[in-house]
Amino acid sequence: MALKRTRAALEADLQAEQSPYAFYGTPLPPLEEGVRDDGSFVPIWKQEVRDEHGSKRLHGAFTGGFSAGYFNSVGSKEGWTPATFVSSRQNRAQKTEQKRPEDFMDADDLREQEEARQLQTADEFAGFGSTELDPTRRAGLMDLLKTGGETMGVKLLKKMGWREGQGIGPKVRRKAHLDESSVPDGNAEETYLFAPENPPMVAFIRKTDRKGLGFEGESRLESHNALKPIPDSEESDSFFGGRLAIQGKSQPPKPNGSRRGGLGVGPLNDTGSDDEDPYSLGPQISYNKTIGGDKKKKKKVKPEPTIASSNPLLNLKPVFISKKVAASRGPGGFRKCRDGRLPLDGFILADGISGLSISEKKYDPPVIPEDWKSTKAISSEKRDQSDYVSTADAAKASSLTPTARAALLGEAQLPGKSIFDYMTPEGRAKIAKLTGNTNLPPALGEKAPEGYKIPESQKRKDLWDLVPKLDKQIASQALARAVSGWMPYQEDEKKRARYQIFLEVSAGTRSTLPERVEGSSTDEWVIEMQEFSRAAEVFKPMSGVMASRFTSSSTAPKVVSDAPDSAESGLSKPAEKPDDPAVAAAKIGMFGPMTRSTIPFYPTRLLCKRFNIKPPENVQLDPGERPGATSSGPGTRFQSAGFQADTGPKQLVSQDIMNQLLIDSLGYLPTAEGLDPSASGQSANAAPPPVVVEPERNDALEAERPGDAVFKAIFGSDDEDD
Amino acid sequence: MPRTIFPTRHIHTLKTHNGPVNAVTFSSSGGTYVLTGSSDRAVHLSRAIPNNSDKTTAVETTSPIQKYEAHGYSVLDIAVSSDNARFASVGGDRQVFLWDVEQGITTKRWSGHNSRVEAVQFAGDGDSVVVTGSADTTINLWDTRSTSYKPIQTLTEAADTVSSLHVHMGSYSIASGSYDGHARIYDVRTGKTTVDVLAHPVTSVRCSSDGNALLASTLDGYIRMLDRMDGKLLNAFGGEKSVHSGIGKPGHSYRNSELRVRSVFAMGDAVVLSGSEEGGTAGTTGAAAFAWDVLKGEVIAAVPVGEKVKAVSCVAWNEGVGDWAAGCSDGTVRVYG
Repeated sequence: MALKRTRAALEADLQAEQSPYAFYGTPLPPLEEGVRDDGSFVPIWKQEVRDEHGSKRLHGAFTGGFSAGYFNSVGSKEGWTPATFVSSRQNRAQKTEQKRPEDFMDADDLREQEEARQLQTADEFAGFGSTELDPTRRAGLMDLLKTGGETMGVKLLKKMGWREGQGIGPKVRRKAHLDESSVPDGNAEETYLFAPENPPMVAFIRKTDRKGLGFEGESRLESHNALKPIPDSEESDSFFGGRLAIQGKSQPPKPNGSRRGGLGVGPLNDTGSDDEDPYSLGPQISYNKTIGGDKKKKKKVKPEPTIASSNPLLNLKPVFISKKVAASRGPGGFRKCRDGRLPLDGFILADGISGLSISEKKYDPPVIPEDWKSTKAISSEKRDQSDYVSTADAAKASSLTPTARAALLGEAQLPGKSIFDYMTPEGRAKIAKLTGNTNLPPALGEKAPEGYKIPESQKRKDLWDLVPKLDKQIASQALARAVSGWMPYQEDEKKRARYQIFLEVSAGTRSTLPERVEGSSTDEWVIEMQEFSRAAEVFKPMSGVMASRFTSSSTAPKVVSDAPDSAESGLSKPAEKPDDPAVAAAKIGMFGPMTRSTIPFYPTRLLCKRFNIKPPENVQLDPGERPGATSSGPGTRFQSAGFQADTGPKQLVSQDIMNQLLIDSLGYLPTAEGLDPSASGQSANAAPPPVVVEPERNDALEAERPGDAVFKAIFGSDDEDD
Repeated sequence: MPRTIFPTRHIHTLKTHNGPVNAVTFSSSGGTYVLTGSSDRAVHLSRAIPNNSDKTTAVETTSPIQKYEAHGYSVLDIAVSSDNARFASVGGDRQVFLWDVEQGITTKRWSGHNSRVEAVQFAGDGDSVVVTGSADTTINLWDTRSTSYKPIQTLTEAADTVSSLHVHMGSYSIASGSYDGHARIYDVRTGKTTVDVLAHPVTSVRCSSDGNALLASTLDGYIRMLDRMDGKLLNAFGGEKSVHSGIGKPGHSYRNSELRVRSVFAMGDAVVLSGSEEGGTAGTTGAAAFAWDVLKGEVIAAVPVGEKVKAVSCVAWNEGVGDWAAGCSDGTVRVYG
């Protein structure tokens, strides 16, 4: 067992043999024979290629192998696995999720894709490495903070129609500058609307040297050149937008040669305009004649030019303006704003003020003596905070009308009155609702002024005019119809009454105005009368012969029969003739013959069979049966077909009365001869049947056939041919 | 004279329906069961007096023995055949159903009416005919023994809804009441129709068992008993008079002005029993059932059925046991005995 060594012993040996100075990584094994080198040469057939996960499966052609399917085989352990059939009837095809390119990539592709990714800033940020912008524009760190695109203000301006390079403001009518150098000739008189020129922004140059103010000295030659190449429109600071250096104001080109720098050209003389020879004499008045005599004047003259205003007026011709003159014209009197307009009344241009105030020394306010006391009492102490009323509240609380207010203020009264003064509050509300305007003047509901008041008679006449004209004849006909029960508005008694009055008025039998519903307006009244008028037209009765042929429907004429208890039923009311004595009798409790009637009933044979009875005699007229013994069969059958309900009760009473009379006078009832055959059936109950039925007569009809002469007499000669 | 006093003790309350009860019928010959039809579209079969009743306190039943559900609208009337094997029901769905009581299914369905069917009665020998009255103003006679879908006969005399029917087989006649204010008695045997004008919508007709009198309720608040022979008034019940007698609290009065309230003869035609609407005179709430002495015309009992009941729409008298049932608009059926 000596050959067998433990792992610990092996490592200890290794440690001992290896360099003790290897602190990082794995030390190489000592180069000795017999020492096992784990990382040493292994024959290729012994080598195993594994991927980063330690598996033997290698994917990708560039990493030394490929695999497919089941451990580089296909499908499954057994080989190709046939897809099991899935019925699409039960399992509808699922929506396959969108395949991404990554799904088809192997590990190599994925890794390459990872490597291809680069972190970079978005193009919007114009900072690092961007060559798009002029490198000279770059201002170091500031570029990081500023986006390259348009600012929101520029976007808004462009939306409003502004173009880059234009000034901001209303368009200006001027002549066209066709060429900077060209002198406007005669025909260039026409003026056009141009966008205003882009006013340069005022900027202040930081003074970093110790030279005198405004001294450009040796830099003059190149400074002109340095400033020149920045054109007006392009002069935009990359951070502050379109900032313009003041010196870059547009100026006519001029020969450079005459300019020479020199001592003595101080800020007093430098007007900012290069047009002038600093040594040329200006107007005499602009020069001080005495030293120290007028410091104020100097002060006044001094300020602006260094920081030249962009106002072209000033720059074109420096004019000395004495303080008096300036004061007489008011502060900043004729100085114009940058867009060339005068400032608003009461305003002075801040430009000039600031120029003044910059150079002014700041003084402390005077010290107020301690025992000084203002003569003015502060009234606010006395004012009570609680009863403070704001102006708006006071206005609300005021009950003054515009007229009263005008009187208070002593204004002349307006000549006319408002229409609202005559309006009722309802009318005003109506208008307010229609127009949606809520702050209309209040409606006063005044009466019309004297002289315009409509006299009562006129009013009545106007009302009469409102009553719709209905033909007198129609009205009287409708009235006549109404009496007999033809009347609309059955359900509304009052309306019916009004309708009747309207008809009477229209017919001329009544001279007062038609009634109106209590509390209704004139409009509603007129509308109702128009409705009445139409109703009367509709209900216009037929006249003459036609009218007599029609009778009102059984449900209509509730008018006449309006009994005190007629309105009780929630069910549909019985369809009764208004003058049906049977109903009248029933209503007063006279049950008996008056309310009783009998009509024939023809049960079918099947019904009789089901009732297990012999069919009644009046249904025994079937061919198989013995012919009916009663002569009134056909008549009653006719009745049953459609006239039972109608004729039965109606005729009953007259029949009854007649029978009664007959019985009273004759002692019996001669039914068969004297009366309508149709009545015999109904009278059957009232009179005893033995009296009614006359068997002999029937038998006679049945048994004997009349002689031929009779037929001949009746049917004439046609019968002879037979 | 009635053999005993009119029973007014409340012994059973059926609370099986969800809607107002429109029809109450005792089973024939014995009256052990009661059939109730309601606006909840079902017909319920229940015991009239439950087995556990001790006849002293009112018991309550909430579930019926059997439910018969086929109607699509309210059940408006029920009739039970004399052998208790079948019953007929009609309703607002214009259908006439003939039911098998035991199986709980309809054996016949007739749909010949054009409007809601208000009344149904069995007629004929062995209840072979079903008579129905409808709001289409017709009375249809249906044959239970054939498969025809057409009625045997249609009676079209009425001018308005036929609201009530009663078949008196002793005289082979069919009495009908209609909202046109007429009571018509069709006598099949003699082939005559007797028309009695009542001048007010008729909500209930009933023939006395001997067939000599016709009881008719009308919407003027009266129940009239007419002589069938000559149409004369035998007696009138009701009217707006306050009732103090009987069990009822003072103040209840019979009232029938807008609902279909049914009335029946009771206690061997010695008593007229009727439902009523709520209302009437001072201080009374809830409807009551009323009983009148036929001969004297006096109220012998006014039985309030509950404070919140708007109407007792139907009553049924069970001659066999001597109890009666009142169907209320709150969906309950109360049995008194």
